[in-house]
Amino acid sequence: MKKEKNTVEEIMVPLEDYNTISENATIYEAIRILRESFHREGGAWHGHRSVIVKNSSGEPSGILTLGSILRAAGLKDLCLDDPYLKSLSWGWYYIKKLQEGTIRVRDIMQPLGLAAVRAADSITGAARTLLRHNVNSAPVIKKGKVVGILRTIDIFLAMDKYFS
Amino acid sequence: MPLIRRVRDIMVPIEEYPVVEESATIMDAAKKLREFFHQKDGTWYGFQSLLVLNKKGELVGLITLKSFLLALQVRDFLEHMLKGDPEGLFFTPRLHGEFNVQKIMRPIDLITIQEDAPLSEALSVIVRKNINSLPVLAGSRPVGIVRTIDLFWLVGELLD
Repeated sequence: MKKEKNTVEEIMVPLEDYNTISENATIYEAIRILRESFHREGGAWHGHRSVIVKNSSGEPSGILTLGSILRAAGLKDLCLDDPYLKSLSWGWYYIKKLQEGTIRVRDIMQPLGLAAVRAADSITGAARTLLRHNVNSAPVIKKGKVVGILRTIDIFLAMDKYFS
Repeated sequence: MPLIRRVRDIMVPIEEYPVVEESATIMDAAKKLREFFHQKDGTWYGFQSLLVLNKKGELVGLITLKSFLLALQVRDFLEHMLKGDPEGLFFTPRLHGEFNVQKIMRPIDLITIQEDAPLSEALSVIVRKNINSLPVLAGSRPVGIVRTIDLFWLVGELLD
């Protein structure tokens, strides 16, 4: 008989599954670490799309996602009419901006304090937290320590029983 | 170093992507998405959104994982309401039957991009609108989807 999963702890991804990166690392290093974290096989991606960020004491302090990397180069301020951008050199322009920048991982990560859930929380309660903060993943806290990450996909996979 | 490329070069073609009709229920959509899931090394992998088409094959919406979270909230809310109001049972649509994807999908004025747009534009839209999935059209015909993960792969390539 399959055990029903009702709490966050039962459906989360354990902390040990994730690669880590230092708060002080550059975006360049972050991209490298993230690429090590997942890879492509045919049309499908395998591996985690986030990295756990650690502070100078070695404690988890945030989550670094793909989205935060893409936003890092200040692309919001891109002017699409810029002829330089439309040229073949677009790729180099982007890389150049990344390398020039003094942005560190801690400037763009999702801090732990932003949205956290407890290991004993219900699945619907956790869903509410993710929605309220408009995030796709949140750290899971147990006895004051981060023990895992909860993602929208984990909630989706556990949802069958709610809609049958 | 890749030359300037178009969205169609990195998008996932619609033929390979989960699609539902606008009349589908939440359950239909969840099942369809599950169909595309596979397991490797004990972990699940799959796509994280569905394109919603009308009977004419036109794109009318996008369902993301967030949509399913919203559905859960509605159901939870209804259950709480009903606990104090048994009469409400007669007025509440059965979630399974009438709760369809239109209620939770990303709305009609949805953000899309043309297949021949440059990648810089896809990147700009995804960053500015803070989304992870961007449907791709050829004129008004849906032809695929481009996601943060596809753009990230490109960024990684540029670094090699």
